[in-house]
Amino acid sequence: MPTDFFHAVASYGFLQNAVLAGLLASLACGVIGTYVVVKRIAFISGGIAHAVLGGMGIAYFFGGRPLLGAIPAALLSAVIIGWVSLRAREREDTIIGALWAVGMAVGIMFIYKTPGYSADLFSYLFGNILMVSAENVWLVGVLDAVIILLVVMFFKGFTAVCFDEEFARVQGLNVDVLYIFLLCLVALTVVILVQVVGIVMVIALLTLPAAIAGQWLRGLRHMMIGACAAGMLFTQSGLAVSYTYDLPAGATIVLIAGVTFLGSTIFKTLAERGH
Amino acid sequence: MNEKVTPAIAIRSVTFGFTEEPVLEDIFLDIAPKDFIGIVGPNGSGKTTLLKLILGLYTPDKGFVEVLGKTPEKARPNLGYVPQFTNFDRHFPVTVLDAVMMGRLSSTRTFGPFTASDKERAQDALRTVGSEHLGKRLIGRLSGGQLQRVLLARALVSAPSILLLDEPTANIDVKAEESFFDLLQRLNDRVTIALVSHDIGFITSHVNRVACVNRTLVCHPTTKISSETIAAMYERPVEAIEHSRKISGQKHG
Repeated sequence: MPTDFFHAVASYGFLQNAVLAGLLASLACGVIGTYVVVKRIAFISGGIAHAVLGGMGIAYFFGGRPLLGAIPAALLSAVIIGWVSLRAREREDTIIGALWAVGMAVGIMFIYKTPGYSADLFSYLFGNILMVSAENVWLVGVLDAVIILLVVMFFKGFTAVCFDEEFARVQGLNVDVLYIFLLCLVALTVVILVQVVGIVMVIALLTLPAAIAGQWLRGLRHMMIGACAAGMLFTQSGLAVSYTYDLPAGATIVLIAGVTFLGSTIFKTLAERGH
Repeated sequence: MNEKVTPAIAIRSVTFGFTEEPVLEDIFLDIAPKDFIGIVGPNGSGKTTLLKLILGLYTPDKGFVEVLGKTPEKARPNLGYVPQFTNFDRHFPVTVLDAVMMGRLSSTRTFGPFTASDKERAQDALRTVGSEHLGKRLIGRLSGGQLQRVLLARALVSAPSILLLDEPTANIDVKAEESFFDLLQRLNDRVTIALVSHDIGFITSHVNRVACVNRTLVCHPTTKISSETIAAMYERPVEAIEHSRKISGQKHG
């Protein structure tokens, strides 16, 4: 029963953290996800997400907080992948695929060699929003603030680079730097989302809310706001459903998003045919 | 008659290629202020490449390009560029007004959103091309002719002195094409225009001069020639331009 869920949220701190983490993650995922969708960089974002495991594994091995290892790893992989995609046009997908797998392999290697029980590996890969600490909720909030502030500052440039790279270049923008910078913001968003749905399913939250918003709303700003709202709806309803029926939270969130996307696509197609 | 005009665009002995084989070889071309030149040639002849050299998107292997007496990079704020349709995603979720404002990027502030004055100028540019009623529409909802005018507005929004257009009529119907050229001819009172096209027959009735490109370049006057353009043309004699390859299947004006 949903009422049970509301009562539980009112009484359990870990659920309050999960609710907050879900809401805050939706902000970054709506804003950056919109760029991922319109620039068609889902594959590149997937590469960054998976390479992050390398950094988390290394941090874990040295006894640091995996999340703090994830931030430099995500930024580094964003810069490398961005540079590769700018330079090696024709072999881009192969090289990104390689970085994707090698990053994961590095992570698994370090986690395997870390003394003690490696239960965390599972939660990195598939997320565990119920385990998000109050401290990590703060971290997500700070990352959100950084991401949104930078997008507000660079909105014109990011949009121009996504829309028409060559024209942006003629306008004197440093297109390569802006593109890699945007990928760095994707990387920070990935770090946030890893806690909610895990590395493997990051790409769902990065693309589906924005894609759904894009089917119904006009313009990037509206798409971003709509995607944030959709993300909030998915994380919160996913949390409630998973709590009520004892299902894994990350997978429930992603399935709800996926089913909604499918429904939205069908509805949109029918609506357009009706005209 | 001998009054020397600084050319709007000066291309001197330019050779450029992506591989060992040059796409363009030993190109000389002067384009006078207020000239309206058509750059024609078959597919793969290097005409778009020539336009991108003028824009400074490519750097010549040999020779140099000057725009308004400056390097192309420095002259960019004075250049209005209308790219081919294939350069961008036509279904990108951006409204016409927002797309036109992107032409202000070189002149507006670096951080934060566009200003009220950017918006005003964008509306003015839309008015110039007769599309002020389309501002709120998504670019994906425009016809080919409408989109072409919007791209022209984006190029005009920073009041450039030179307009460079790449195949502007490739995706629009004949009627829209006619009125688009009429619009360009009116703009030609204020700006220099260089237009790339594969369709030599159509453009010769609108432009002052035709430059035929096929690795090398040769210039031809058309019937409508103003005194200004004659001056610019004879500044560099036509005979000095190597004309080693004829463009097959196309008449030279």
